[in-house]
Amino acid sequence: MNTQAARASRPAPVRAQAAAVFRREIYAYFLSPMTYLVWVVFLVGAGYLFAASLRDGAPASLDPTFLNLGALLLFVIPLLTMRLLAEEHRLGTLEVLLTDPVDEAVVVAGKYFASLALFLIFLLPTGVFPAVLARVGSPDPGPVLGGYVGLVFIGAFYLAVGLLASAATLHQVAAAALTFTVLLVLWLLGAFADGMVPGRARDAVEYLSTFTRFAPFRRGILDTRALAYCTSLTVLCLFVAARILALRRLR
Amino acid sequence: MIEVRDLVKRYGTLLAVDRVSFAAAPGGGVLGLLGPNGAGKSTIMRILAGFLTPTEGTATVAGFPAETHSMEVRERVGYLPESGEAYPELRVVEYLSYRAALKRIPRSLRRAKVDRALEACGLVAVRRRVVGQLSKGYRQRVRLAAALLDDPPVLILDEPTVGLDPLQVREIRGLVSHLAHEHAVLFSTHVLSEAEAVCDQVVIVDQGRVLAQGSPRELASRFDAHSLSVELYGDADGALRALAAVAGLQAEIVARSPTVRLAVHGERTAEPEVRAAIARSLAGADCLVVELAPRSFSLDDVFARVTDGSKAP
Repeated sequence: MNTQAARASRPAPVRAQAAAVFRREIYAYFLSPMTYLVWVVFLVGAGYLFAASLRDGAPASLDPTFLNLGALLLFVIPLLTMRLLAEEHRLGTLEVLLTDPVDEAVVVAGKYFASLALFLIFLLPTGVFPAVLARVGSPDPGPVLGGYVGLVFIGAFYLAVGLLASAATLHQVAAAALTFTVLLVLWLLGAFADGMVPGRARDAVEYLSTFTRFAPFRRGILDTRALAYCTSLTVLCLFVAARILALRRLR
Repeated sequence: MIEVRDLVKRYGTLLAVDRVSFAAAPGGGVLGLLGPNGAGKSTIMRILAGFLTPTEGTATVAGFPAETHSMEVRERVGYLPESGEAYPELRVVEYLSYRAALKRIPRSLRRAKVDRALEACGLVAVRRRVVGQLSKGYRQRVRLAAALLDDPPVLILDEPTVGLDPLQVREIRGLVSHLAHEHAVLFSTHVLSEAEAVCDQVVIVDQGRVLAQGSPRELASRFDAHSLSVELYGDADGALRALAAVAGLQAEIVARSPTVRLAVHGERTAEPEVRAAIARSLAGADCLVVELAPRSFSLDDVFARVTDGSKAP
């Protein structure tokens, strides 16, 4: 019973558990051809949209590029998150994961931060854009920095939506489709509200729209309301995802 | 170590487990759950492993009810689910380190525990190989090694030999028998000979209910007690007539040549006086008895009988 006592006195190394899940997800990402395919498509799309925004006499600004990148994420993010939990369910490895002494929230956190890390790596090469812009003109650094901060926060929120969808569905294709639909609706709400929703209701709809929330960042404003919006919704999605995993036990 | 009492599990309207009770005797070696596919074995094991909650009843592992103390139970159970391969992209040693971290094994002990599990499962030679490139038998050993990692007092192994070739099956069985020296093992199978070979105690389940439980020998002897096999030289019909004269016996002819073989049933055939009466009566009918023995039933026979019984209205 010696080992029993040792077991009971062991602290819960939550960080080590989350790190293990994180590492294994990063592994899985970089060993999957899908990752590189999505990355290439993302960069080619981003590069094309950036090049298209460069015209003689146009202001040296990344504003249109950021807007386009925001839209591009609607397609890219679902492909990054769809596998995370739905695939574990399909392969039966979720049962292995959930019968080890690990909290569901730790699993969700490990997977989420892995997807976030990959997303940041995806963004890295786009650093070329401001560098190019700085050679041909003199862009205002504020909006460039702000745009990136906005992109990261919006992307972080999108990833949480994707992870939630992956937890809630049993197939990765369903997870991707659900994520894309939700993100598209959130994005379009702003444009839709502008023309069609009257008065007070418009404020509410615009508040929810990621399109509207993203706008101040592109002007170089660190809008705390938008940061709070992204952060709180991210946490909410992750919390619900962990609850869904926990509820699997109650089937 | 393992106790299940009045366990009920419903999936919607489907009754998967119907008031199942059994307990592993302390130090009782391998406890086998035997039953056809869909009998409810996996559901019972999933509840014991803390993956499902019971609809009614209790499942207790190492003193903790699985329903309310899932985390404590999961810390003490090495569970090998029926499905759920090791991640194919990882190397064997990477996968085991990953699982060791999930099992809260402190970093300082991880290396040693992984090495021990590799050794126990005969995986040392393939430790650097990628899991996806291993044979099915080896992949199964990797999963088993992961279940063993934290030296859990209880092992729950759900059909660990399914899909393996006969040699691999024998290896895994040998491993399980060996593990039973230090762990309480709950083992499920739908292969009767396997339960006979590996298990010290067997619980036979079908359609969510326990049909019988005991050691393989006990289960078989319940039937042996009522039946004899008789071999003799002489006239078969004359022998039948002679046996009819002994009270409380039913006999049937199994074979007429080269020797006559009879199956004899009766409540008291285990008693020497009754057997003596049979021998005397046959001798009186000019039959020369060359064998008079309890008929031995394998678990197959037991299983066929009890499952037939349960299906009768």
